[in-house]
Amino acid sequence: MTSPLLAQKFNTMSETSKIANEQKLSQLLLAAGFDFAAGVPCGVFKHLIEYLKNNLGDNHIYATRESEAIGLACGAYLAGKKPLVYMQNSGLLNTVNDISSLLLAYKMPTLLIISWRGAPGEDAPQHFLNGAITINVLDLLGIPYRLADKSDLPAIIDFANQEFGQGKVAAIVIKRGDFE
Amino acid sequence: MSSNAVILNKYMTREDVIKQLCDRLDGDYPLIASTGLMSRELFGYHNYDAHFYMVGSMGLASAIGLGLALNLPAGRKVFILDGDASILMGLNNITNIALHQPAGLVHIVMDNNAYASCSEEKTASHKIKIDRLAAAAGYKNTLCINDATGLNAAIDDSLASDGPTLILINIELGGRRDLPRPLDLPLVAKKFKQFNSTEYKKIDPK
Repeated sequence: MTSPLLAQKFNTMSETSKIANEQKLSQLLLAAGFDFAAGVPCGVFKHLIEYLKNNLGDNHIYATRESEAIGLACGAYLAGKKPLVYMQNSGLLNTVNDISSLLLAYKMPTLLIISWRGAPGEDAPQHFLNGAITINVLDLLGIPYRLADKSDLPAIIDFANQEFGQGKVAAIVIKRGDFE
Repeated sequence: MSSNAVILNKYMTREDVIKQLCDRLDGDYPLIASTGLMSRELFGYHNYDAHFYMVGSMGLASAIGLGLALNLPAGRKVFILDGDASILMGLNNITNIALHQPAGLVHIVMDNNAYASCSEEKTASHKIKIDRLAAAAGYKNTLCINDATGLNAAIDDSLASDGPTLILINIELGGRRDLPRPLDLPLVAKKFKQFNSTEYKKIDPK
């Protein structure tokens, strides 16, 4: 939990706000019973990852690829855990088959936390097409999602809990700047 | 082995290995079987609740096995049944198995040097030895076996000692293709999850 130091380093109000909101979301996720996390890091929610890692200990794993994270979450679920997977939307596209032929085909619930790179206003060209199709891909897979809203984090958690309880794969989608 | 060659030098078939493994584990230990004919062969032979037939998501059997092993009570055994093509497809997964060292994880790889469930196209496993990859990554025990006696001893050893363990079995290419397939996948997951939540019938011999 080096968050105050990071805040000092960046020395901006927006970074302070980002840290606080990501920590709040992480706390709420743990309080809601999510007890296993695996994923491939993304700077969009780096403080959330740090919090999960520090608080879940051995129940948090950095995956080598997003597909591995889906497999790890599946194994954890089959052992009785309530898993979440975090990844960039580039990773969502990497894992489409694993989500569809494993999680969805066997009706195994998992919460996906997805950063939305290439959202309108971003300038990194490798993300343009990924960003443009991200929401469509979720829709095609039939995965319910909520866009991150820092003003109502409990509503996002309620959504995640409810979908998990119904055996669904569901997603929280976070754009750059959403938590600032 | 002896010198009256031909027959004795023949490897086991996929069917031989699956039947021997299934009989030895007897539905008492979780067994995750990878994509294609090996899942179907296992399902057709005996459909235990302890079996998870991973019929899609090729390459992920070892990741599911790691996620399971890390979240079951310490010392519980978890068996993964992979092929050479499927472990190579998710070779990255062996690094996290080696890093996290789940003591109960037993990774069995049937090697017929081919994408056998497709049209038997060749993989790289004749040049790149999978047991050596696992040893280099940091699996605790790795071994390569060629026959039923070796397989029996290897399973016994894996039950009695801490892993992660990788058992590479050279097998013949070919075998039945007219195998049944599990159709109710949510039921497979439900029964397997239920199996993992109950006490095992047998205590690990260790």
